[in-house]
Amino acid sequence: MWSEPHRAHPAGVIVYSSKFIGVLAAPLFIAFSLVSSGDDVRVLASGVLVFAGIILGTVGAIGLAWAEWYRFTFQIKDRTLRVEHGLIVRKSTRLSPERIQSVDTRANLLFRILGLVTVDVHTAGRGQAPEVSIPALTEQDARSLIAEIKAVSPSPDPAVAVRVEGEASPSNHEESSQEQQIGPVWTPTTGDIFLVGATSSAGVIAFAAVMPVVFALVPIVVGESAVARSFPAGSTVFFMLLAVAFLVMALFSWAAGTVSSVLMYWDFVTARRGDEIRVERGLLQRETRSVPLARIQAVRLIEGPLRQMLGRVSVAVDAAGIAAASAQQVGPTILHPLLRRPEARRFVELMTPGHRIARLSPLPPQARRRYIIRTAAFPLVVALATSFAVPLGWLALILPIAAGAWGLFVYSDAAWGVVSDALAIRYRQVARTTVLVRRQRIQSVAVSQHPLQRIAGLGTLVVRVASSPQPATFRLPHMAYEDALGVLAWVGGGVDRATPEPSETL
Amino acid sequence: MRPDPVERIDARAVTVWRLTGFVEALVAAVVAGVAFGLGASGIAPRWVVLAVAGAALASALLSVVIVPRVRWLRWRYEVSESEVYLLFGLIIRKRTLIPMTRVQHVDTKAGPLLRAFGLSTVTVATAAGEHEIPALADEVADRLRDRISTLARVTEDVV
Repeated sequence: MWSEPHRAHPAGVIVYSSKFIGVLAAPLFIAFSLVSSGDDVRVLASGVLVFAGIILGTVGAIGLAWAEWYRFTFQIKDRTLRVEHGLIVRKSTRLSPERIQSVDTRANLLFRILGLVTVDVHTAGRGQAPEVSIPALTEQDARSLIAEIKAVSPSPDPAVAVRVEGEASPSNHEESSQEQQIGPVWTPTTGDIFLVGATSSAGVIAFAAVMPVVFALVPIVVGESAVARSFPAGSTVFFMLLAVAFLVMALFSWAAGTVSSVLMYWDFVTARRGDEIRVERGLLQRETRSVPLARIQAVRLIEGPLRQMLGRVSVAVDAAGIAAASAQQVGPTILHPLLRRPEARRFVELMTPGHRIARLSPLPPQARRRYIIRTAAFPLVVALATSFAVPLGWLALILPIAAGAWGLFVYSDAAWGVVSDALAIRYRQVARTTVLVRRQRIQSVAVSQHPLQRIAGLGTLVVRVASSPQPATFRLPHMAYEDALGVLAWVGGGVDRATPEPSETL
Repeated sequence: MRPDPVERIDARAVTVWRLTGFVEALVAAVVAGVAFGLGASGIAPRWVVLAVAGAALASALLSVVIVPRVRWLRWRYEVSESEVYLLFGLIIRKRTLIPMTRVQHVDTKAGPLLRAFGLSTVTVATAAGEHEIPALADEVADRLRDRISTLARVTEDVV
């Protein structure tokens, strides 16, 4: 049905008109300058001029948007997506199915109400911006168009094709209908989505952003008021008021963060169809992203401290050569925001075949000291300086002790493992992250050793993986040197295969 | 345990690094000069002047005499059919392994200083960053570049 040239849905004019806001400004500017220049121009005349300017600008903007919409046509002919577009610079784009990496859709609130979507066609090497963006299509048309693009696409190039090792067996009840290749589907419950919001870091970020502004504004607003006079700075009530204000701000930020996360993750659906994963999400702004399995470079299981306490994991993937995740989300694409930990294993094996959660080995005992020193050293120096300089400064020694305890915690979480063809590295920054990388996806591996590590027989493993928009580097400091060299040899395909004694599972 | 890489980089690298080290030493000399000036005018106490001058001298000695030589001694590389293997680092020893299948492109490059000595640097690029083998003789660098490029082409390419 797409073999004839088609135009986008007329609502595309709305999408384009935002581009021509500048056109609106020009006549207005002229009108204003005419009004202000003439001395004897009457008020009425100036009003008419400005009004005319607005009308002219709006008509101009809509007219140009309409022209651009009118000019944009697309069709699928000879297996190729042909697009004629561009108002001033006329462009004619031909996209062979081999070049198309993924087709995503998005819809803002207006489009959601109208049942329309914007379709973005991504190719490799264009980074963030889609190669072609069809401004508006009905949801039904979009589905049919995407199906058509899929239909003309060749089966994946064997050189690029993913080696599907852990493919779910056909007997699996979630694997049905060979025709459509509908694979496993996951959706978090509404309660879980609220949990995602409540445990998200968005609130913390909002709080950090708002606090300095509040601290700057409070003296100006409260400064000379009755409140400030009756409760002078330093009084008990002043501190209580301050504490209450702080608490209210914190609660408010947390609520705002929760709401924004809930809106973003609303009605989250992860589905694998054959050789790609589709992720749908969002209430006001709804997005559909597809990640071809062949593009996946690494899988990350992320456990923020709060979520870890609740036994929940979020799963994200690093993918190469596909469009980066949306503006709100930088870095790896989230496949699921909140899985129960036992569920994560099945999710990873079904959604991203070939990736397994390996049995993990902890780091050797001699690494413990290095982790504690690493986090505690700087706070210790600061605390020592403070305790000499300030009376009661020795209280600052709590800081290095807390930092050391955190270092011990980070040490106990650090682990690694190799299973069949995949490497697993677990480390903690704030969130505990377990990275799964298949051997053929490792771009380079390095092992470094400084003199102190040499004495202790330790080394730092560094694994580099391609990812969009930037390559990812995963580090595991203070592995046993022999083990690190074992991983190096394993990546090189050497005989010295690293097989640690399994002692712990995720 | 896999054997360490065996190839050395060109010995002229030491001279090049000494020259760049000399520029650093000049900066150190300026610092020492300022310290002596301050000492002579009585602004800084004597021990500060001596400490700064000592540090400047030591750093000059390090960056001109010792570091270039040791750095060269400790650089090793090896290119086999299946991988590029690097071993380098003065204090922090670093082994880097790049599977040949991951190599996207190989370049040689040379700035004016390297060119004056007939040396080039080979850059091996993967989808996740670049790795360098510094200061090889031009012919060696060209041969190595072509060899890696050929090896990288025959193996199946996977992004």
